[in-house]
This record gives sequence, C-alpha cells and structure tokens, in this order.
Amino acid sequence: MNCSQIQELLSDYYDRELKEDVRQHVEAHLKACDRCAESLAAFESLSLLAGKLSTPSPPAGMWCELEARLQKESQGTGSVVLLEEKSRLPFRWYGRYSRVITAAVLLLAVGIGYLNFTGKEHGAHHHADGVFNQYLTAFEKNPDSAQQILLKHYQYDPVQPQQAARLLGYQPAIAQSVPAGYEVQSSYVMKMPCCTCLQTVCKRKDGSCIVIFEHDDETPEWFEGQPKIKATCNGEKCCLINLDQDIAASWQHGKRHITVIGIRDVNEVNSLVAWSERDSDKS
Amino acid sequence: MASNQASEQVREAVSTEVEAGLLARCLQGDRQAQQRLYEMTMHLVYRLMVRLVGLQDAADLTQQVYLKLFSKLDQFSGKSRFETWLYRLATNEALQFLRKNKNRKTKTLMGDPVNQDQPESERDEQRELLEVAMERIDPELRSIFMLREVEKKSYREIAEIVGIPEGTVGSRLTRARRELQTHLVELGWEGLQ
Ligand SMILES: [Zn+2]
Repeated sequence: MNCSQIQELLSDYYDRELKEDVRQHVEAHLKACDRCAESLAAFESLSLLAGKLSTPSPPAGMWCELEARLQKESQGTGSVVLLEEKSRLPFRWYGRYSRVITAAVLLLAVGIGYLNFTGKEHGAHHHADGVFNQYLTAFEKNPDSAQQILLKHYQYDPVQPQQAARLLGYQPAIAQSVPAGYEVQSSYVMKMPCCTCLQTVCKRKDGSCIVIFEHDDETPEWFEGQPKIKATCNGEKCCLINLDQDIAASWQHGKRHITVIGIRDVNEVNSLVAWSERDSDKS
Repeated sequence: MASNQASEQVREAVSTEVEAGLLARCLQGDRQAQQRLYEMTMHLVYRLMVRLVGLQDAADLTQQVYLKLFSKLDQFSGKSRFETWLYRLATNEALQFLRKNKNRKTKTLMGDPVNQDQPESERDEQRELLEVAMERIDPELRSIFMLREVEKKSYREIAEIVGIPEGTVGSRLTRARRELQTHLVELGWEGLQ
C-alpha cells in the first residue's frame, strides 16, 4: 500500500477498527514510513488534548423547567407552536428581555396543570379589597410605591429580621440567613386578612428586588384568578405564578410557607428554595 | 477519561431499570419515572450539547431532547441500546439546531463566566485552543470526533448515532482530525511532538 492509501486507513488503524490482515499491512508501512508515522503521532497528541476537555455541571433547575414543559405538552392543544416558542428560550438569562420572556413562558405553560393554591373557602381568605392585586400590579412598575400600598392598608411593625421572632412566635428563615446575592432592605411583620406574616424586601446587587413572605397558612389567596404551575424546584414542590414581568413562587417551609415575588427565572426559584431548605436543616 | 466509565455506569443503570419497566412507565407519562430516566442520563446529553452547540444553548437543547424522547419513546424498538438511541436523538437535535442557526457562532467554554473566574494560570490554554478549533470544523465532523474521543464510541455505534454507513466513519474521523490539527497549528498549538 502506498502512503495515500495508508493515510485513508489511519483513523481505523488508530482506533483499532481494522481487520487483522489490513492492520498488519498498515503497521508494516508505519514502521518504514516517517511521514505516516508522524501523522499517527499527531492523532495521539490530539487524543491527549481531547482528554482534557471538561464539561461544566448542568445548571440547576433543568428538571424543573423540563417538567413545566412536559406538563404543557401533555395538554395537547397547540403544543407544537408553544414548543417552538419555548425552544427559543435560552436557559440562562443574560439578556434584558429575559424577565418578559420568562413571564410569557410561564403563561404558556398553563392549562390542565392549573392548580388552586388552596381549596379553603374561608371568608377571611378573600382579599375582597384586592389590595394584594393592586400591590402586585404596582410592584411591576415600582416596588417602592407598591410597598406603600401594603403599608397603607395593613397593620405592620417594622422589624429587624432577628427580632421578628417575638412578634411571630417563630424564627423566620430570613433571620437565620439572607439568601446569597441579596441584601435585606426592609422587613415588616404584617397583619394581613389571611394571617400575620413576615414580609422582607431583599435587594439584588443591581438594585432590583424580590419580596419574601413567610406565612402560616398554606397560601393566602394572593394570586386568586392567576394561572399557577406546579413544579418541582430543587426537590421541593413549588407553585409558580406568572406575573406580568416576573414570577412568584410559593413552597412549604417546615410548618410554614414561603412565597416570593419578583423572581426572574426558574433558576432563581431553585436557589431561593435551596436557601430556605438549608435553613430548615439547621433549625 | 472518566466519561467512559460514567457512560458505562449509566449503561448498566439504564439497562437494569429498563428491565424493571422504567421505559414503559415513562411512556405512560409517569412523571417520576421520567424524572428518574432524565436524572440517570442527562449528563451524557448535556455534555454532548455543550460540545456541539455551546454552553449557551446546551441546557435548552438538552430539555428539547427529553421532550422528544418522552414523546417518541414508543418508537424505541429495543434493537439498539437505549443509550445509542438517546445519543442519536441528541446528535440529531444538535445538528438540526446548528443547521437552522448557521450564522450563529458557537460560544465556547471560554465565554463561560465560571471559567473566567479562575486565575489565568489554572486555565488550560491548550484545551481552549481545541475548543476554538472544534468550532471551526463542520458540525457533523465535530460530532463524530466527540463521539469517538470523548464518548469513546465504537465505529459501529457512531454510524448508528449519526446515521452514516459504518465504513465511512474512519475516513470522516481522519478528516475531522486533520482539520482540527490544521486549525490548532494556525492557533499556535505546540502539542504536535
Ligand atoms: Zn507513508
């Protein structure tokens, strides 16, 4: 065999995919021909280099998103179109439109998976005054003025999270640690029609904020009439609610519940669930 | 490389569970079974996706693969191994995506913020050169190279995954290796000898 024939078989030889008789021919040639032997050595160097390739760990929360997509799929109608739209979504959100897209996706994900937050029909649970709705709407535009709506309608005590226990009768999660990447801006023990809860506004480094509610009741009817998605986030059963530009999430935390509004994406839900669960391990 | 061992473990785990009716339960839409299958195998798909389409789209496309997988599971005949079938779905998904987004540049791991946090000295420049070189070759050649060098697949499996005759795997691999070498040398690789 001449060099060009050998070169054609070089990968097969290198990967030990040649039949024995052909392999012997190639081997004999390689012993006699420096040029072909060099080509083979180059394959080896390349393999060594390829062996150094590493893969980062998959981002957290992939199952959580996939589950929401599966749920949406199982509804059948229009799934092809919806799938197409969803498929355009980058999983990691760097862009400035990401919040809007997230919200749109959560909206698409709704249907049969619709869940009621609570089946309870107590009068006390109804926010007939719609204060919380007003609050949510205002929050999308300006969290500070939204806060004023709550403060205007409900009795409250501004507290340091560490001192909230004496008013609440329990040590809230936020008193044990602040989720990484946020800073507590304000914290109130708030007497709402449903229950007394601890409301904490946390700022991200970029100045935007999330609001964490820790409350006794399964979930107050804060999001009445809004579509809800059941998902597993960081191993916890979570309820996700599509707000205008961001999402709200609610999950059980020990005997109580945590609800957070102003979340940007499912990854953020995961990290917040992880934060609250880490604390419950401690206590 | 550890990946081969990991892949071997997945193979065993999956085949044991397949016997236990995991696939059948997935097919019935059993969410827990689906999650189980996903968790056992997703790192293989994700790793392939990172290499084929880049970090930016790897997670989304990995999910796409599982959406397809769960909806097409009835088409899995059992003739090939489940793992081969999964690789095939993943490779198709990646190549289809790259065809649709021809003008888009694959973002390498070099763009990964995690990597950038590392001190310069700890980053393997040689490895990064290979990442850049891989972006420059044809996606199908890239996938064949990955399946061989990282996933350690046999020619027969590669043929099945990519959907090409077994006899052409070797010549394509030779082309992939040559082209990678050419790009690496252009990029200043000194690893040759
Ligand atoms: Zn020769």
